Amino acid sequence: MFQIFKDSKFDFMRLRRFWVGISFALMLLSIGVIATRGITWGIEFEGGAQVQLKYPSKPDVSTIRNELSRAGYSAALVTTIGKPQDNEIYVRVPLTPGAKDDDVAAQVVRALQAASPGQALTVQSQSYIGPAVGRELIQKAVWAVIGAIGGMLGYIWIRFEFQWGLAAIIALIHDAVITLGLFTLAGFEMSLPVVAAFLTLIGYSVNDTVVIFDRIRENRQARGGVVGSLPQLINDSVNQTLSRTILTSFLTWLSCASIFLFGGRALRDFSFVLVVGIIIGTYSTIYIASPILVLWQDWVLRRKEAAVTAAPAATPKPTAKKVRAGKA
Amino acid sequence: MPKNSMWKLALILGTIALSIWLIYPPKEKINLGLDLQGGSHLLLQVETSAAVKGEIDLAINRVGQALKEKAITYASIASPDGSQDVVIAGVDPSRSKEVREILTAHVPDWQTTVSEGSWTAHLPESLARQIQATSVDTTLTVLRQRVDELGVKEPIIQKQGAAGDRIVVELPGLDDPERAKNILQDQAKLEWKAVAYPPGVTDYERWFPPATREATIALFGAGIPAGVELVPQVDLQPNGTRTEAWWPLQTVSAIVGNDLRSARRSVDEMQRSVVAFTLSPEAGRRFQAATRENLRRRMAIVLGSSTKKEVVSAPVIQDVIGDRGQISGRFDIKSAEDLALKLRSGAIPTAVSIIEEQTVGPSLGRDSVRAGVIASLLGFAGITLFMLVWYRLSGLNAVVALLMNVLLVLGAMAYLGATLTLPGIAGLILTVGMAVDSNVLIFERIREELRIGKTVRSAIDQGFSRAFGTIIDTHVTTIVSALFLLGYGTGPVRGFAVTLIAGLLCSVFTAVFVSRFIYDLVLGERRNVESLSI
Repeated sequence: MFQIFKDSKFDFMRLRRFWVGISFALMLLSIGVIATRGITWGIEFEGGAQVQLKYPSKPDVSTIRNELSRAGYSAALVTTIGKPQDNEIYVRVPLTPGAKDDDVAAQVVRALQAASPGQALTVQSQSYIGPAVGRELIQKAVWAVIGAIGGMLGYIWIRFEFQWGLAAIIALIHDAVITLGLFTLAGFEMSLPVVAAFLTLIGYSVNDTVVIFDRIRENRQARGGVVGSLPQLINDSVNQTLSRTILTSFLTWLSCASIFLFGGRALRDFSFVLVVGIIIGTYSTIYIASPILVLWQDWVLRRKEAAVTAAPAATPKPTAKKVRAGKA
Repeated sequence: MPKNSMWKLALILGTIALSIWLIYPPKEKINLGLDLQGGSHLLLQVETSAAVKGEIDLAINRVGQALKEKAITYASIASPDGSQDVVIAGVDPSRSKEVREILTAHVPDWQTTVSEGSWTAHLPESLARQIQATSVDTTLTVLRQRVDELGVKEPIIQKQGAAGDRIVVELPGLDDPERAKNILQDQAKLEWKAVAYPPGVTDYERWFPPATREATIALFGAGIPAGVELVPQVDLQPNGTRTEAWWPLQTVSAIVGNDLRSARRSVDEMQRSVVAFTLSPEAGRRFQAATRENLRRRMAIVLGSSTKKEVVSAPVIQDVIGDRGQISGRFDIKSAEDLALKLRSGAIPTAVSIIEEQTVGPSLGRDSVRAGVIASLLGFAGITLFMLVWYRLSGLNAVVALLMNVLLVLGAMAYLGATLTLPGIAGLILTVGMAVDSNVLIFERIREELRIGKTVRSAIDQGFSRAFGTIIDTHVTTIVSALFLLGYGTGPVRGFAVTLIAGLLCSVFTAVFVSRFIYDLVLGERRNVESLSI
């Protein structure tokens, strides 16, 4: 029988502060990357036009840039895409502020076709998004993310406990933020399918966490409601589900990696989110979501003890310190 | 086989048969999205406010013609800028009764006031709102007709948006999306207008207007008289030079596009393409009167939208024309056919602009399908290989369940008429990755139970029942996020969400029910099962 871990007994909870600290630092780093580099928004959100054109012979990007500039699109971004022998270019034109809605993509194609008479250009794809549409889509995306998070929090609250739900949400925010940081660093573009990928990642991250929560609850019931040491309980649960966590993540990751490698250009940014996100999600399931439950309890206990000792004593500060030292 | 297994087997085989029946043949049963088969997705904004202006223009024409028919003289009929009024100035006071009759007949719901021979008909706000609302429906009808005539298979044309003033048009598998867009967007408002010759012109047949607006205005000396408008005729020479001629025309049209009964491409005696049209009988009578009045003078054919008009041609009327006529301009076969199509389907009542477009060429679509299929197959192969190595025969059980899952998802999509998009393919393969989770949960649990010394049978029992709660929890959380995706998404993203949800729902059935059944079937009624290949 193949097994990753034979009756594993890793102490995941011992270094909980360390891992939570590392994750916190990574999140800050990601936020820094996002803030400094900025998210590249796709035209669905920003509005504008994009065109993918195939030339019969090798196109010259700088000539095309000049032609577009002459046609009034000086802000156009022109790059070649795909394999060199595909002779394909990608043009993106931002919206002109205050301009009336007008199909810019079609005009760009017309301008480029006019600029190279005798050459039949093939439109691989063209899209245009007017200013009003983009704003609506951003709003919708934000609501969808908030709704999905709220819905999952609600479900975990009903099935488990509120703070467990909170722990799962913290883990998913952790996954989303770090993935978004890497996504930004890799220079991908935020498009509609990418938002879909992030929503999927959120669902996946919680899914992964819920399996452990289920086990914690089961073990707690099996131990007759006697909680004993919470770190021990959680540690056992994480260890028992460890094989499943790793295996499932690996298999899902395998299918995403296959899309990333072979699914073609159109799905690359989409699958990147999942390929990276699943790894981070698996880590956070083990090292973030569960330890937070323990940290939470530590904090609650400390507050209780502080309150108990603070009431009769006149000098609460040193007592509180002693309690903390005693627990460690 | 135990007796109570019979119905389970029947259920499973029935589901498989149903799915295959739903899917086969896949070319017809599985709808491919625009991103896979190529085509155009357009979001059109109907400028409802411009519809009111169009209605006012139409009122001017109808009332103006009626006044002319009754030979009631008036100084001008026009709508002051920015108002919802039609003002008829300088009307013969002795014929007030007839004017009132005409207004009641042609603009019945408008508020009419009269002072010192000047009549004002006001379009009330409630009626304006009604016009705005119906303009979207009329546009929808006209667009449907035009798309029909373009011969697009299975197009989608429907209203969208909270305000109800947007129209989604999806045209799969177009060869020439550009042409389709032009045809859809063109309001195609056709008008015949008599030329309002400037003072001093005697040779009506040979007069031709100057090239700029200012020059034409100058011909009238003291500015453009009321009831006259300037419309350009644009001429593009093959060498690229552009010439214009600014025609002074009567605001009141002799006939408008709505008066046409039919239009088709034809050729004139010089074998040039023209558009031949037939008028409704009533309009034919009016056209006859108008052409008689303008014999050996020019009448302009004006085509355009609420915001932009252009003179197509301005022929000299040689003969009185009844209910048939033709429009000649510089048409080639295609442009003549397109114009005929647009005139046949009627005018779009107001300006329509494209606020979103997504067009995918057929070759890119084919490439995407190929890449998607390859990625799916490789992903599935990877999972299969891993499951077989890791769980051996139990792994085979899981792979059978997964295959059935994919089959059920495709069947469900065919049944729902859902569209398979590129992200949808990704959703399908992702579903396989997530569905295998249920199997892994169960198998790991069975292994645990075996490890603590349980018999094979009770380990399987415990494994399935203990994992079940977890499977439900994980599925619900993922489906919750997928539902929000469904609500948020457009087109391709919805396709992704639909595949994901269908896949998750089916996987509860395949991973729990079907896998369990396979164990029961294989282990049969043997009392003591010594070992399990897991």
